[in-house]
Amino acid sequence: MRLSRVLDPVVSLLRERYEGKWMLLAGLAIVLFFAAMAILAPYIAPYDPTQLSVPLEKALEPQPPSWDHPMGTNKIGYDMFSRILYGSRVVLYVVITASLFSLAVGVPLGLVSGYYSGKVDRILSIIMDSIYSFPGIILAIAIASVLGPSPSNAAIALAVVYVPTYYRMVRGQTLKLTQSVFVEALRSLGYPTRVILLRHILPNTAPVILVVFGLGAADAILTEAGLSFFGLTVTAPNPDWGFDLYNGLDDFRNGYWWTIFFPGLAIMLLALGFALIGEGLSERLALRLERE
Amino acid sequence: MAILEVEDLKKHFTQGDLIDRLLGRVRIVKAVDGVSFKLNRGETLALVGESGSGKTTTGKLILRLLEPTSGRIVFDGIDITRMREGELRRLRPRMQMIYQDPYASLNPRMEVGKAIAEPLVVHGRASWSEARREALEMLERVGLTPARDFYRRKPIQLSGGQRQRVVIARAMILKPDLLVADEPVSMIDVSMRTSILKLLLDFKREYNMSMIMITHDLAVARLVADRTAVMYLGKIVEIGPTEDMLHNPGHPYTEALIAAAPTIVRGARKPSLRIRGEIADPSRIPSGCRFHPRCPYSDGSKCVKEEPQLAGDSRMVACHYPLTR
Repeated sequence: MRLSRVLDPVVSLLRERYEGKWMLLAGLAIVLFFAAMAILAPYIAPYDPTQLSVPLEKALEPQPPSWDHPMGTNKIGYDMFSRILYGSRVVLYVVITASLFSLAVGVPLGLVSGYYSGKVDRILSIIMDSIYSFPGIILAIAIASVLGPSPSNAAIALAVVYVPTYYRMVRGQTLKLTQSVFVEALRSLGYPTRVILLRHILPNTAPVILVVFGLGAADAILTEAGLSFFGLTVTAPNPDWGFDLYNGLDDFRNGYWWTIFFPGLAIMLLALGFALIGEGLSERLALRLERE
Repeated sequence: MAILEVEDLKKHFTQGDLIDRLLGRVRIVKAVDGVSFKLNRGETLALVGESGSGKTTTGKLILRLLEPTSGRIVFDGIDITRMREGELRRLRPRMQMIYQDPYASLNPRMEVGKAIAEPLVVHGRASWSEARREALEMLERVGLTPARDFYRRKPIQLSGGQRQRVVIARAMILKPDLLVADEPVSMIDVSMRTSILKLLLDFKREYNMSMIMITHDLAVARLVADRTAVMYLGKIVEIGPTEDMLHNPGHPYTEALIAAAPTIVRGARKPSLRIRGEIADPSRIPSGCRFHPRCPYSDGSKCVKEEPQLAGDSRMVACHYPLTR
C-alpha cells in the first residue's frame, strides 16, 4: 500500500510522453550506472585501490592504460580503474547524504516561513540569504577545514551550503499556495496548520523539491570535487575523484594524461547525470503547470 | 433566535509601502464600512451589489477569514470578533464557505473523495473508513454517480459544475449551521446553475441551516433568499424581504439594479431608471450619501452633506428620499 503510493507516480512518470523525457531517462541511466559501480566496487575492482598493483620496478612511473589496467596506474603504482570505482562510493555518499540533510532542514523551514510570513519569515530569510550570499565552494571549504577531513564532515559542509536552495524554493511555493483559494478554503474548514502544511501544501511542492534535488546534487558533486581537491574529504591513500585530480596534477605536465583524465571524466558525467534528471523533471513540471 | 448578528462591521485596508507612509500618501480603502444585520436560524439572506461593493469581504469577515477593523460578529450567541484562531477552529465546522471559483478551491493533487472525507477525520468525528463511507454517500447526494468512480478522481478530471458539487459536499459533510456562499454559480455553466442552487436549498432545509448568498444576480437572490441586503460601497443601503423589495424598491440604487437586470419579475412594471458612471473608488468615498454622485434624485444639498441612516423595521432603507414613502 505505502510502497505503491511511492512507486505509482514514478511508473506513470516513466510511461508518460513529453518533450524532455529523454533527459530524465539519460540522467537516470547515468546515475544508476554510477550507483551500480559504487555498490559493486568490491566485486568488479581488479585491484585494491590503496595497494601497489604493479611490480615494484614499474611503480615508479605511471603506466598507460592496458588490458591489465584499463585506466592505467598512477605514479605510486595504484590501479586507476579500481580507484575510480571506489571513489564513486565516497562521492555518492557525501553528495546524497548532504542533499538529504539539506532537504530535511530546508523544506520544513521553507514551509513555516512561507506560511507564517511576518517576523519568523523575516528572520529565517535573513539567515538563509546570508548563507546563500557566500560562494558555495568557499563556505564549504571554510566549514570542512574547521571540522577536519572526512567524508562525513564534507557532507555536513555541503549540507549547510545547500540548505538555502531548498528553503528558497519551498518558501516561494508555500507563499504562493498560502494565498491561494484552496488553502483559504481549508482554513475555513477549521483545519489545523499542521494538516494544511503537511497534507496539502507539502505534496504540492514535491515536484519542485525533486527538481531542486537533481540540480542541487549536480552542483554538489562539483563542490565535493573541489573539497576533495583541497584534501578535505579523504586522506591519502584513500581514493576520491577530486583528490586524485589533485594527485595527478604534476603527471599531466609530464605527459601522463590518464591519471587526471579519468577522475575528471567521472566527475563530469555524474554531475551531468543529476543535472539531466533535474532538467527533465522541470520540463515535465512546466508542462503540468501549463495544463492546470 | 438569531444565528448571526453583525454590528457596525468595518474592514479598512491600508495601501502603500513605507515610503508612501512617510510621505503621507497612504490610501485607506474602506471595503466594508459599517455593516449591521441579523440572520435568523434557517433564514437565507442575499447580499447583492456591484463588484467592489464589499459583498465578498463582508462574507469573509463574518467567518473571520479576514480580521475585522472594528465592529462585532456574534455567532450563535458567541462573540467571535476577536476570538483566537485556536478557539475559533472548533467553531469553524459550524460555519462553512463556498467559493466563487470551483477551479481554485480544491487541492489539485488530492482525490476529490478524500477531500470530502477529510474534514470528518480532521475534526475527529470519524475514522478514515467511516469518513470514506460518508463521503461516498455525499457524492451520491450531490449527483456525482457512480460515487466509487468519482471518489478516486482528481479535480482536473472534473468540470466546473462537478467541482462545485464536490466543494458543496465537502462543506455539507460537516452539517454546518451557517453557510456563506460567495457567488457559487457565477462561474458555472448556465445550464447547471439552477440544479446547484436547488442542491444548496435541499441541504439548507435538511439541516435547518442559515445561509448568506453573495451574488450580483438578482435572479439568484430571488430564487433562494428570504431577505435581501443591497450593498453599495461597503454599506447596506437597503434590506428587507426579497420579493417585496424587488417589486417595490425603496432605494434608488436598488431600483437601478432591478432596471439593469434582465426581466425577472414577470408582468411587473419595470423601472426605467438608468444610473450614470461606475461605483466610486472605495478609498475616496463621496461625502453625505455615498450614492449621491450617481443618483438621479439627488437634491444637491442634503444628499451631499448628510449621510442617511438605515431606517424602518422589516424594510430598511438608507435614503433621505426613499421611493416607497
